[in-house]
Amino acid sequence: MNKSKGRVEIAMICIIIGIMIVMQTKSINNLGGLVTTQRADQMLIELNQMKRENDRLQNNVITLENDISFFENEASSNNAVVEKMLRDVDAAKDQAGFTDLEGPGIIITLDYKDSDGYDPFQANSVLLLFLVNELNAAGAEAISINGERIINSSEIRLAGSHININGKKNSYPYTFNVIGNTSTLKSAVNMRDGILDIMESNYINVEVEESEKITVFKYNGTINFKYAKPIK
Amino acid sequence: MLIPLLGLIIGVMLGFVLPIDLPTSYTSYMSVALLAALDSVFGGVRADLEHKFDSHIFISGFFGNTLIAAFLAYLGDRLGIPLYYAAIFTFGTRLFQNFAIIRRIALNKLQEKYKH
Repeated sequence: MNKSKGRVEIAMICIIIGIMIVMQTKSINNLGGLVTTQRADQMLIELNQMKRENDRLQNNVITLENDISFFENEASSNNAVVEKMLRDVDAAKDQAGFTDLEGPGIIITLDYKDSDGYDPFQANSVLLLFLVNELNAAGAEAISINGERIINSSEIRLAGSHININGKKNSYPYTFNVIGNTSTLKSAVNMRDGILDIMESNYINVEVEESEKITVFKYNGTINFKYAKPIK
Repeated sequence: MLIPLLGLIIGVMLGFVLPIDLPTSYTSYMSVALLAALDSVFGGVRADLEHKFDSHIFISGFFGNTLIAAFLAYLGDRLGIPLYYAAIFTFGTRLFQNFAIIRRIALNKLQEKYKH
């Protein structure tokens, strides 16, 4: 019968479509889970905001450094000025990441438990950057990864089989010490389809811990601007 | 209507069993091909319900549409023209049209059944 013949062919094609659907879902999972376009747009906006904020802070640091040299010149003549200068220097150092800081916040531990030779951090090293980005967007005041303070010139990039942070080699487990509003930070990273969901879909073990007292150590390098000169 | 569904289920199970893995860089072409394939099947079901089903047109349409859609998406990537939008638009629109017609035919059949 003509009618049933058509259905058999449709069924055969449906088998092929079924295989295609499974292949597609498999490879999308391999890509690192589904990232909706809305989420991508949102992250782009966050990234741009971060860039602007970074520029502003960098300008702040430059002005403060100018202030320091100005106060140093004044120091010999006026003691009150010296005091104010010292306070300003300390505040500037806190913001720039040159002092050890302490406060409430969260500790995020990222690990990979299986010993099959696969390194999810090597495959998706950008996820660490995304996490820092999310934390900064959620108002984190100080972040360190495995004791490396994240400052505005810190890099997080795959170099060979390690991830370089502040020019130093790191491998998993990664411990993020974050000072900030505990509940805001937690909800920002635990958001549905958020950064920790993405990490878990990339086989990364995630543990988030709240703490009343977290220490974030200072940045151990120096910043020297060779090319950038403040505009007077 | 049950046989195609059965085929789909068999296909999904086969897909899980068979060790086929698509390189991740081909996902966008695969998605367009999948859309073209779905469009062909909806077209086939519609033709079947209208008693105009021709297996040659159906089979050639399925493979032709799928391959051309994937090829156009690939070519578009190489040339910097997002041609897959054209494929998505065309096949997507047709998918909905075909479904609307299938729905109408099915409803008509149901109505006739309950009249008598």
